[in-house]
Amino acid sequence: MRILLAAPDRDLLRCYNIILDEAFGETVTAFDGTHVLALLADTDFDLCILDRDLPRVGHAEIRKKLAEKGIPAIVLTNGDAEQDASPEALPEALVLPFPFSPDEMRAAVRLATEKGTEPVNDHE
Amino acid sequence: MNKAQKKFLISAVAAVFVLLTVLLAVINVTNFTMISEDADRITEMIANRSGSFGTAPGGQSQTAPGSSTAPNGGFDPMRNGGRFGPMGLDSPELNATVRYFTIALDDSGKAVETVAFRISAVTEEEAKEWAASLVSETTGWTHGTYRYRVTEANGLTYVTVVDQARELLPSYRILIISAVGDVLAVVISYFVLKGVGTRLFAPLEEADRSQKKFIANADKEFRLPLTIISANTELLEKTHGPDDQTRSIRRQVGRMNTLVEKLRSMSLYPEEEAKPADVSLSDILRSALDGAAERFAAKGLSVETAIADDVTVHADPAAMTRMADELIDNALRYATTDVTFRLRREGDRILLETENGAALPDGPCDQIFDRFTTLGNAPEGATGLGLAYVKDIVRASDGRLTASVTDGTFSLRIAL
Repeated sequence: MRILLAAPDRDLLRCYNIILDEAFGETVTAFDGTHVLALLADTDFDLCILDRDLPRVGHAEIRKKLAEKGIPAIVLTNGDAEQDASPEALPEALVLPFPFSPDEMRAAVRLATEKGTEPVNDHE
Repeated sequence: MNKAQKKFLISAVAAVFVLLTVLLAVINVTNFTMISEDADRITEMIANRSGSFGTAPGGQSQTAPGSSTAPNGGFDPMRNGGRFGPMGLDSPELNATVRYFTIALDDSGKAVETVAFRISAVTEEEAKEWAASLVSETTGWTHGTYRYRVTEANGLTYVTVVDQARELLPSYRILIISAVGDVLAVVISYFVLKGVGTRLFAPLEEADRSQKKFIANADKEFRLPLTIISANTELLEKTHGPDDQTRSIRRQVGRMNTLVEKLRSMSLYPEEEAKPADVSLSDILRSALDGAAERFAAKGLSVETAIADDVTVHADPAAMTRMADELIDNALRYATTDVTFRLRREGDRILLETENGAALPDGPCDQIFDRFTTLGNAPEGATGLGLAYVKDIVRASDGRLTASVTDGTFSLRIAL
């Protein structure tokens, strides 16, 4: 499985790159929205894990692109899980609010790729 | 307008109303008392002069036969403390202005003589009937505005009745003006205090908003580092194997996660929309205590409960559950002896009490409801937020809560 992990924090990218690589295969990281769109343009991904506060290009635009390509998404949020889980705010998104553990991240990836991308909040 | 502002406004307007009403009541009662005393002086004077003032204008005698008439000279307007002003009791005008009659009754209560009759509103026959009906009391009011006095002389009973309508009319006007003024003052004070309250509470609301914003920001700032620490701990354990240090890091991350969740609750409550419903606080408390039974047992604490059945409250069920959890969590952290939880209804209030031994000095300790405040030697993991959250919930439900320590026993009392 090829996963695109996009977040502005490089420490988060570094450690979860390793964790997701070990659990699911290849992981590609990006630290801003422009980088994400560039990667989406020329690479196929099975899943995109996206920080809601990604700089330069908003998550909504990126998610529109993901929807066009039929790529499921997990959106990492800063605790506004209830708001973010609403279909209007993030249609067909799986929301994972900070803080989460590697186990929770792995469970979220499995859920997003195996069961589809209906809005859930598995942190609470 | 928030709840605190509403409470301030209601209390302040109520205080203005009560204060003004008491003040106006005192003024009106004093005024009426003075009129009564003045009337008593007049009736007493007439009675002392055998039933009349003396000679009426035009030379017509108004004096009871066989009685002496007081001389009319030496008028002193300040006599009687000046209460009558220029119309003092010795005023020569008094005879012309006071409307009264005096009827003499025999032993059987039959009117035998009209001693004086200087009144137009009452006929002589009516005056005799009134007099016959008034002998049971020495003095008092009759027929609304008439003050009377009953005296004995020469084997007869003299009933003197003075019409005080003219004196009472201004006092009725003052009473009506007072009532209208009272209502107007309440209306005006409502609008003035509303304006004052808005200005008064603005800095407090701003401070509260700032505090919640700070907490919300702090909460968010904690979340990402905790996620990264947690992930790196797993990577460290995979590389080097778990050891005391990584286990310690996990424990601390767990504590920080708890703190983050509490901070989130603090920053959102009570702004987040409560969904009040009739819920059984008895069931919530029992369920929470059942869930915590193992943790109490692990600490060697027994829990004594006195929970009345079907104590229902109209409140947000999630908030009530959280309140029960926080109270139990607090007892688990701080209790040094067995724990008691009591729940009952008293009148229209619900009382929830918990007691346990705590190593704290005696006295009230309501400061434990302040955010980030712990007392004594706070145990590991204490955040000082649990009871602050309880306070927010209780106050959002218009309840009250107090805490105190007596002889080493910590008591927390919530009235909803």
